Amino acid sequence: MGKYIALTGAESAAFAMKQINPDVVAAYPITPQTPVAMKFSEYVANGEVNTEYVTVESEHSAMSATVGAAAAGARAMTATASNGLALMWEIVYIASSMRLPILMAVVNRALSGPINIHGDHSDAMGARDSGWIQIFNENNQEVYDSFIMALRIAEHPDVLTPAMVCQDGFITSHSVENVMPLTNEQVQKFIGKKKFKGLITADKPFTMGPLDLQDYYFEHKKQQHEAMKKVFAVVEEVQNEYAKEFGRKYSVIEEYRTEDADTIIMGLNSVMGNVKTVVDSAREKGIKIGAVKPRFFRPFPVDYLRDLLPKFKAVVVLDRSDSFGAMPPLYSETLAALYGIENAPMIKGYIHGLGGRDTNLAMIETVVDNLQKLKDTGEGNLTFEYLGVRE
Amino acid sequence: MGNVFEITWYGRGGLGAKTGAILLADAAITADKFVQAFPEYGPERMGAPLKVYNRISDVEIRLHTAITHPDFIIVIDPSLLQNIDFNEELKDNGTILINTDNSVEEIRSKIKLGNKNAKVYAIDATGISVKVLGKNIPNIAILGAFSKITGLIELEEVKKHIHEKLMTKYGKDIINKNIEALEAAYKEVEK
Repeated sequence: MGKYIALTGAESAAFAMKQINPDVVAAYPITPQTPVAMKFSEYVANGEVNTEYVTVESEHSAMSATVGAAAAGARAMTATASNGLALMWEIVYIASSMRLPILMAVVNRALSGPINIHGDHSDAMGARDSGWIQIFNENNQEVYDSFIMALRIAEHPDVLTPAMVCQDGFITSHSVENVMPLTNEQVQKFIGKKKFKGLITADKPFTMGPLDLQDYYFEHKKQQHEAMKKVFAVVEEVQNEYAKEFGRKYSVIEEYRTEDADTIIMGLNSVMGNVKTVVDSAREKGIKIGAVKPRFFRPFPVDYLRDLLPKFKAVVVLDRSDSFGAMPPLYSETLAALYGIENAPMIKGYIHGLGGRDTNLAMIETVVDNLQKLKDTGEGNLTFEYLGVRE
Repeated sequence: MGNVFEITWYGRGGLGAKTGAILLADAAITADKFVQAFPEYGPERMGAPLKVYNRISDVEIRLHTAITHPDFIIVIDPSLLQNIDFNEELKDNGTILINTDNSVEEIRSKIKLGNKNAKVYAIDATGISVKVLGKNIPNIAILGAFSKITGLIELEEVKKHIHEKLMTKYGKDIINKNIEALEAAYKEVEK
């Protein structure tokens, strides 16, 4: 057994990056990602890693430099948040199209405007069709473990797709918590030598990402989709190995007190800790409730949800982002996944915590009450509303 | 869920409340506790009021939400006292630690405590800090007093973490002075 140390969520990402010891990191600071880049550059300055740290002038350049390095076969990483992710947008798509297994720490923050530096998922949800794997994390330990597993997943020859390791800005990124890291040797042994040798070499120069028109673009896009389909098989394998080696068991969808539950609350990232706390107190009152936490949003775990959710009578989905004029992302994709299933549960959505508003226990308690109404009377089925907003 | 001990620090940017909360968390982890230390961020600027939170527990902490009714309130800047409704905020039988040169009786009569049952402690952390460090950075002295009052963290552990966390940034001289402030407050606070 290892020993607990005190790390913020941002430091947990940087610590995992240090132990991976990537060849190249190019990052530009943006609140609340800044401590990831800051801490990692400290490791570079202290000689604790062999990484070449590229101090770029913007996020667009950060992703460009990362793409260049990865194309040449380097283990390359970056980190960003909010408007930073928005600024690297163009190259985010290019990274996945070139099938480069880049890792990116995303510290989820609201998109402008008006400017807001706090945590919500509008940044990552905007990038949900960019062709990246997206892993969401409730706490700092998860951030750390996901980073190490994500490397194996992204670099797997069946996958070769970049991955975002997401966490909530400030809520976890700036909160010190207990984290039990592995040793450097354990990490190095687990990740192994990089199999992906890169496409561009000095003796075999060629152009990547040139023009790809009606003749082949379509085929290349389909290949990205095919790679995504293979992700969960690799995830299962990597998670099992991680559990076997280090005793920490993760799953594509985490279930909490669902055994005999007839209602569940589903959501992403840090709010699920609050949900579990409310589940515990509701259980004491005899309410058969549980929590369900997808750890992946891309690929979206459709088959897992189709297996799992019909066990329950009613489901509430919490989204920490909006889709103006449409249904919020986690809610709408869950609905779509359930279409046509016999015994599909009743379902209701809530948009919560935009711009970092605290989703406190009292708010979740009202969700539990409404969820019981949904179960008993069907009230609110197939609707979504806002939680904790002033009218 | 088990009992989670919750602390709210009231301070201003530049007084070291955040560093104090992190050192507290570090010291509690070495005592095999589960911890959290997190600030409530507004726009960050020197001198602006801010709150920092700690949770300490024997079991894993799952909560990711602000603390509204703490067991323990630390007021690191006494100029904020008028804005704090201790009666509303503090848990019953909670504890308040105030950085002040007033006596406990004096300060008790000045704060919004109502008929709340609470223990109040006073420590002149600013006085200690100015005397030892030559400036007002009262966070470490506060930790000395906190250690004695609660017994939740060991003075030696706090010292160790001050060394680890602050040595590179501040150097030996400042570290030694901080440790002097820590010990002085530990001695001075009346339990």
